[in-house]
Amino acid sequence: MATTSDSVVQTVGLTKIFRDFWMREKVTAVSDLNLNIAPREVFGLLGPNGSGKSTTLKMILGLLFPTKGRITIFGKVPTNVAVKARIGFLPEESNLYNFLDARETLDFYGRLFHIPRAQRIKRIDMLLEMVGLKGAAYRRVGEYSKGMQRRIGLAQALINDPDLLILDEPTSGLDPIGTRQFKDLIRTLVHRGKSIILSSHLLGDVEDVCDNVCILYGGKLQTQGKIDELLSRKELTQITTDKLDDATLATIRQTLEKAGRELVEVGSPHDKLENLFLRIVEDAQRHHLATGGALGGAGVAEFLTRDGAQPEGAAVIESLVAKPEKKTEQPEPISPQPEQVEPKTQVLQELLTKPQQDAAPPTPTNKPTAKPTVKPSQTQADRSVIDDLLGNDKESGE
Amino acid sequence: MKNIFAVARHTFSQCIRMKIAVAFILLLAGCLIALPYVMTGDGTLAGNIRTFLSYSVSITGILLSIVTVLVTVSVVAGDISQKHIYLIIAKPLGRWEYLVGRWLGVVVLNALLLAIAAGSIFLFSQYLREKQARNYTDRRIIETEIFTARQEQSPIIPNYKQIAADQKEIFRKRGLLNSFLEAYESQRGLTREKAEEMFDKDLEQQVKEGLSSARPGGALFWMFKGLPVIGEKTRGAGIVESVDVEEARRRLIGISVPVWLGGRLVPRGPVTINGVDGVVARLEKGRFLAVFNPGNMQRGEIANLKDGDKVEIQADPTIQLRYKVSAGNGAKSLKRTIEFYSATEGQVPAGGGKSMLVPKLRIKQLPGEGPTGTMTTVTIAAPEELSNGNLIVRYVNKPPVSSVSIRSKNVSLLYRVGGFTGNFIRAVILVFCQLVFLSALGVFMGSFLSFPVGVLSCSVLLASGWIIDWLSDALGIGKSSFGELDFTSQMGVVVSYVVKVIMPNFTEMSPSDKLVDGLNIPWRNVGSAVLWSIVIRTTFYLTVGCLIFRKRELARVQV
Repeated sequence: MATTSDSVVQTVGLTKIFRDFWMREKVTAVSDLNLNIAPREVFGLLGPNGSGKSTTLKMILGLLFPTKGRITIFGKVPTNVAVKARIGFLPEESNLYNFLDARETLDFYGRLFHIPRAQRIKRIDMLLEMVGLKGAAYRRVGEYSKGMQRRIGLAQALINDPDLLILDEPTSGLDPIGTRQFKDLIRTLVHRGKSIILSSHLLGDVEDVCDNVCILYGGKLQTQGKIDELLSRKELTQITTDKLDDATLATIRQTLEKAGRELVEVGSPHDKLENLFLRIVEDAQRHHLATGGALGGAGVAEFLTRDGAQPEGAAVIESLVAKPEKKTEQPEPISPQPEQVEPKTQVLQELLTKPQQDAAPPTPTNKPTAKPTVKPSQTQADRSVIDDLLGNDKESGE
Repeated sequence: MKNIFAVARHTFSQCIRMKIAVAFILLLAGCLIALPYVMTGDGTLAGNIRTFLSYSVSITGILLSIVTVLVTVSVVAGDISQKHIYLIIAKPLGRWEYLVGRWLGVVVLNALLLAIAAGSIFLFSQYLREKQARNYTDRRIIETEIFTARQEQSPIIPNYKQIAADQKEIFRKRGLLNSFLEAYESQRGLTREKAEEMFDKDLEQQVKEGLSSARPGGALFWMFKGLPVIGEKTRGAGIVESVDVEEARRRLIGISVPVWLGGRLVPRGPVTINGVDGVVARLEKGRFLAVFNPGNMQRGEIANLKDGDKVEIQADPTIQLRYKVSAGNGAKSLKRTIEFYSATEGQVPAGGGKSMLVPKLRIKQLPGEGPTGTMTTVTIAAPEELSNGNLIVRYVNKPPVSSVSIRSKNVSLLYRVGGFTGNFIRAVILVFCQLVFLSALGVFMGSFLSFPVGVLSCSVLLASGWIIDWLSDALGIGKSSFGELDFTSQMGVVVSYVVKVIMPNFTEMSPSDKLVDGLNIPWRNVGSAVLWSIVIRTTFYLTVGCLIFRKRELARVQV
């Protein structure tokens, strides 16, 4: 562990217990959390709903006080006023004043940082340009859509050019373009030596930008480390080769045991962060770890699927409901086993990419809906692990 | 400081955008527009002006108090409930700076709204002042009893206990006391001790009533001590309308004057024209007739006056006696003579009242008739003989109608110490002190309570501050010692004591009564309001609010 002077944020034995009016313990939101966020690091705080992510961030900002343990930010306590000049914060909901327009919003927060007027105006212009709200600068923030509010929220978090940026669910509500720009921004900021803490449910975003992640469950740290290390699956081997013909493929299973082919690349296959996340949460639930947050859903609520004296037409509804229900149940037993999940996610990715590739050559009269529904089942059935690995080549072969 | 100003500026614009100012101005305008329709004065202009001043100043105070409480609680509690505070706390400003900024913003808003309201009230009252008064008396009331700032002085209250003790001693010397007490013992079945106690009480009451009532033909006295030299003269200009020489070679000069100046003159009182002393012979609206004795009329400043000449007028100051008389037979109006005497120190009696000797130097005698049951004011030119500061007023009850009684607390002497404008400004400052205090109270409540609870608490405190004096009276607090009270009254004493500590005395700070009666609001009162309301109580509430806020977990969900 790095020493305090090295780290931007450090928590030691951080614990938060919420009590009710009579001081009875209601829930332990965060329990004995030790974090260490280094300079130039993008730190991802992950966990299911109610796992203590926001509580941790609020404690870092001094909005909540720890029950036990301590926090230092740049070596100071969170309630230290001076240290806040180096922090930028985007809360979970944007929490902006509805009666101000974008420019006034940024101006107000800028004033609190004592940014001189000329510089403030310049920064506001640049920030509005950056988040793409220049055209809406004089509209009241209350009229903004959620995504636009997120953008202005991000802009206010950056007005002081902070050394530490704390982002709670930064990409929720952002459109894909906004998300992309956001990721670029994060990279730029890190390149300039800033540190970033973000919590998110959008694992794809986290995976793309974070150096370090920790996963919380029930307020306890489940796993923490460099994202590359966490996602590498040491128990498997990934082999990348030239294009193989069918004969070779047929024999490869036999020869692999004796290690016959020349290997171009050998390494650990990368897991998707989503799988890692699910595995850890499922593990935690299997071990009945306590949580004050949300548990995994258990199928569709019974009353929604119940038979019985139903009004006419109910049968039709039932048939409509029945199919999705099966689908929603499917992933559940699979998710604990990563080998099975992996192809599934790839299929999903194909669902997103393939129809577009296919849609181009055929005539427009083709029913596009038929293809995607058939395709996945075929590919899923045909595929072995190696097929997956060769997916690109195979496509080009078609 | 920069942070405080940034938050204050933000708060101010928030209130403006929330249309609070607009709503307030519309409400106030609505009330003031409706006022002429509900004004049911006595039909005189003075009555209308009094109603207007009383209503408009009170409504402004009440509306602004409510606005202040709602706004301060809502901006602070709203920031917490709507989580705006998350962003604020993440910025480099102290929590106390945030609270003080919020308070300051509302104070600035109050200053603006109060300035608008006070300006409108002042201008409208000046407009009413210029309107046609019903008659000369009406005009004189407007000028000398409303648009002025008068100091009120109470007469020396006789020491009833001492007089009763003296009386008892006389009874004892005459050997009557014992029989009185025995009668008390036997008739009421009391012990000697209790009987004497009761006798003393009754005797004192009797003395008190005797000294404040007069049979037909009798008279009542009051002694006023320590009056200042009332020297402020009113200067103005008038135009000569007519010049006549009457029999006995007196010269009568008719002069037209502005109405306000006419209001300062007193019939048969002194007036100086171009530096020559004369007497006001007749007074009408906008003009008066001055009389000069043969010696003075020869002087060039007067002798050569023609119609249309401009003259300098100097009106002497006035003093006024205010009293309320009640008639024994319920008569609506009574004949009386009021006499003013100057008195030397030796003539000032210890007890006052009937036993007082009538001093020889009579200053003024006002025969006439006056109404009963209401406060009545008589005006005289301030006598120069008053320089020693002692004045005795004698009320002679003209026969044969009824006996009359006037309580000492219903008698006062008034003299002008300043103008209306200054008084009005002081009144506005008092209201402002109240609002500054309420802003601090609201911020304090908002710092740890949710909006509805905070507003409710503020309202309860505000209401108790308004009624506490009345409530103390109703509970009889202060009349008997704490130990003699029953439990409920004891609780009342405790509560009223607590309220008096935590809230300023709004009744004392409410300026509308004083403005309506043209009574001076001394700077001393303003200073004490500033000290107690702003410096001490506001600082206290803001400090406690900041301490609570500092310890508070602002992200904690409040239910």
